[in-house]
Amino acid sequence: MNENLFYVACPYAAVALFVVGTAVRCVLARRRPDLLRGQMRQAESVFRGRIFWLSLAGLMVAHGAGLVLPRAVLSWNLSPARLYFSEGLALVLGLAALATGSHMVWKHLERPGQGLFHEVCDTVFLALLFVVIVSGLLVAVVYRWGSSWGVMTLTPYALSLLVGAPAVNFVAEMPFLVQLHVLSSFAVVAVVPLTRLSALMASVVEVCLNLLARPFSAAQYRMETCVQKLNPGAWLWPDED
Amino acid sequence: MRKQFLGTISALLAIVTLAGARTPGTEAARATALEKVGVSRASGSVINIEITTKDATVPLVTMLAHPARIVVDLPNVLADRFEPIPIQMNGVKRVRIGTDFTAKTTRVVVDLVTLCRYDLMAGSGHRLILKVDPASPAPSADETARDAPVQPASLRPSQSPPSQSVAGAGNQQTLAETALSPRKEAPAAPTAIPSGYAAGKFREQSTGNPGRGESAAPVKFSAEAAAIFNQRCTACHTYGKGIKVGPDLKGVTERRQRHWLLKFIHSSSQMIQSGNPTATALFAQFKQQRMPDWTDLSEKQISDILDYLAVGGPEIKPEDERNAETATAAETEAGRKLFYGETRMQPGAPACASCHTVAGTGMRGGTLGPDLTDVYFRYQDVALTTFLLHPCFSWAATKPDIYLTATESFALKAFLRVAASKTPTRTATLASGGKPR
Repeated sequence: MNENLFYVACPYAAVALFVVGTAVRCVLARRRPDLLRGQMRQAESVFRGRIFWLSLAGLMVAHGAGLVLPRAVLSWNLSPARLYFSEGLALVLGLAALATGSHMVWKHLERPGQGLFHEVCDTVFLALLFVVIVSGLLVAVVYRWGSSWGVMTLTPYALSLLVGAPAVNFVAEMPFLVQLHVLSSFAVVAVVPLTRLSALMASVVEVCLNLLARPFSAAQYRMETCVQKLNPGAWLWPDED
Repeated sequence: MRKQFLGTISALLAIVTLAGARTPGTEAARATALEKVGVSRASGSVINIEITTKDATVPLVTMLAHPARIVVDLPNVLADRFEPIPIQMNGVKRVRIGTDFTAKTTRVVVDLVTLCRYDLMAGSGHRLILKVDPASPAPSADETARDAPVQPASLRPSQSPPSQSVAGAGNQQTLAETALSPRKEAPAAPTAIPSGYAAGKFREQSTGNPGRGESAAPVKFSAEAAAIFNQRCTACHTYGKGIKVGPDLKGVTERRQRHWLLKFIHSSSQMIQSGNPTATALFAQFKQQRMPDWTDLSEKQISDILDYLAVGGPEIKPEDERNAETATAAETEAGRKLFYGETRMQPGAPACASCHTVAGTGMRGGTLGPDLTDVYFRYQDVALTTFLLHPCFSWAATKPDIYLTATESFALKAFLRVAASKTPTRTATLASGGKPR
C-alpha cells in the first residue's frame, strides 16, 4: 500500500498540482498583469543564480537522455572512458548545483521577507530542491554508474507512469536513497506553482500562447480585411462606410 | 526567515527519517542470519537438530519422500556459508543447509533413511529444535508432496567428500555442530534433471551441449514441458533409471502410441474404467497405484511433454550446468567481456558491471548491487547456475527475453569463478592447504 501511495499516487498528484497550479497562475496573471510583473521581479531576486540553473539544466538534460534514449546511453557507457567522463561531468554539475544552491538559500535567509505565503512556499521549494540535489549526489557516489542501472530501472518506471500503467516494482526494489531522490523530485514539481517561480512560468506560458496564437490572429486579421474589402454594403450603402 | 528554513528542513528530515525507518512487520526485505545449526542425540533414538537464528523467524516444515527428508524452510533468513553435517546414525543420514538469496530463504534439510515422526519446537532465544525420531514411522507421510521431486538447485546436496560416521562416545551428546563454515569444494557432478528448466520461462529452447565429451547437437524442446515434467512426473517416474512408483519413461514414446499416451496422461482413470487393456494391465502391474489425472493440461502441453521425452530431454544437460572448472580460457574471457559490457548480452540485459563489482575491477564496477567477488564460492557451482537463471530484479521475471542465454550464463559463471579464485586470502589459503575461508 505504501508503494502504491508513494510511487503511483504521488507522481500523478504532483503533475496534476503542477499543471492545475500553473494554469491558475496563468489565468490570474492575465487578470492582474501588474501583480505578475511584481512577482517576476521578486522571483528574479530570490532565485537568481545563473550557474545554479545552468547546472540544473545540464543535469535535467542528462536525466532526459536516459529517459528518451536509454539504449544510446547504455551503448555510450560501454566504454569506460566515456562512462567516467559522463558520470564525472554529471557529478561536477551536481556539486556546482549544490554549492550555488546553498549560496542561494543563504541569500534567501538573509533577505527580509515579503509576503508570508510566498516566503514559506519558496522556502519549502528550496529545501526540497536541496534534498533532491543532496540525495542525487549521494546516489551518484554510493551507487555509482547510475546512468547505466538507471536506464534499466527508473526509465521503465517513468515510462510506465507516462502510459498510465505504473510499474511500482522498478523503483520499489531500489535503495532508500534512490527512492528519496525520486520522491523528492516529484515533491519539487508539486510545489513549483506555489512559489514565485510560477510567475516566471506564467509569463513564459503567456509568451508561448501568444506565439501559438499568432497564426490564428494573423488569419483572423486577414479575414476581417477581406470581409471589409468585399463588403457588398459599401456598394449598396456607400454613405455609411 | 531562518526559523522558517530551519523548521522546514527539520520537518523534512523528520519525514525522511520516518519514511526510512524500518518498523516491524512492514520491512519484509530485512533478513536475519542463520547463526548455528547443531545436532545432538536426545533420549532413545531421537536426534535433535537445533537451528539458531539471529532474530525470530517463522519456519515451514515439510516431510518429503523420494528421497525421505525433512525440509525446514526459514523465510527471511540468510546463511552466508554452509556445510553439510554428516550423521549416519539412527536413520538420519545428514543435515544440509542452503540459502536461496533471491527468495531470501534458508532451507535446512535432514536426509533420512526412511520417513519417520518429527516435531519442531521453539527453544530459548531464537532457537528452533527439530526432534526426529527415526524409530517411529511417520503417521501419514505425503508421498506426492507438491515440491517433492526437485529441490531448488541452490539447496542441492553439496559435492563434499563422503560423509563420515560421527565418532560417538557413549556419553557424547553433541554429534556435530557447524558455525556455518564453508564446505570443501569438489567438482559438481552433472545432474540428470536440468534444474534450470524448473524455472521454465527463461529459456524457450535448449541450446544443446549434452555434457563433456558429447556432441553438441542442438536439441529443441519446450522449457515449459521440461518444467511440467520436473514438477509432476518425476515424483513417480524416472528417465532411464528404472521403476520408481510408475514405469521408467525412457523410450515410452516408442513403446506406446502417441494418441494413447495423450489420452492416458490426460485421464488415466477414464482409460482404466473404460477397460483399455494396456491401461488396465499397467494398473495391475504397478500395484493398482493410479496415475493422477492431469485434466488441466492442454493437448499441446501434453504433446510437448511427449516431444520432450522423445528427444531425451531429461538427459540433456543445458550448457550452463557444466561445472565452471571445465571452462576454457576463451569462455572465461567471454564471461569477462559480458561482465564488463564489452560484449553486449543477447537479450539486451545491461552489463553486470553496471551494478556489481568484483575484486580487481577498480572503479569500473557499480555499487548498486553486492560485490560478486566471492559469489562463486558462496553459492557453489550448481546454486550459482540456478541463481543466474533468475533476473536481478523481480520485474524482469515477466520478460523472458531480457535475461541470459545458457552460453552467457556459463561464461559469466566461469569468469566469476576465476575472479573468486584470484582473491589474495583465498589464493593463500588454498595454497597453504587450508580450508577456504
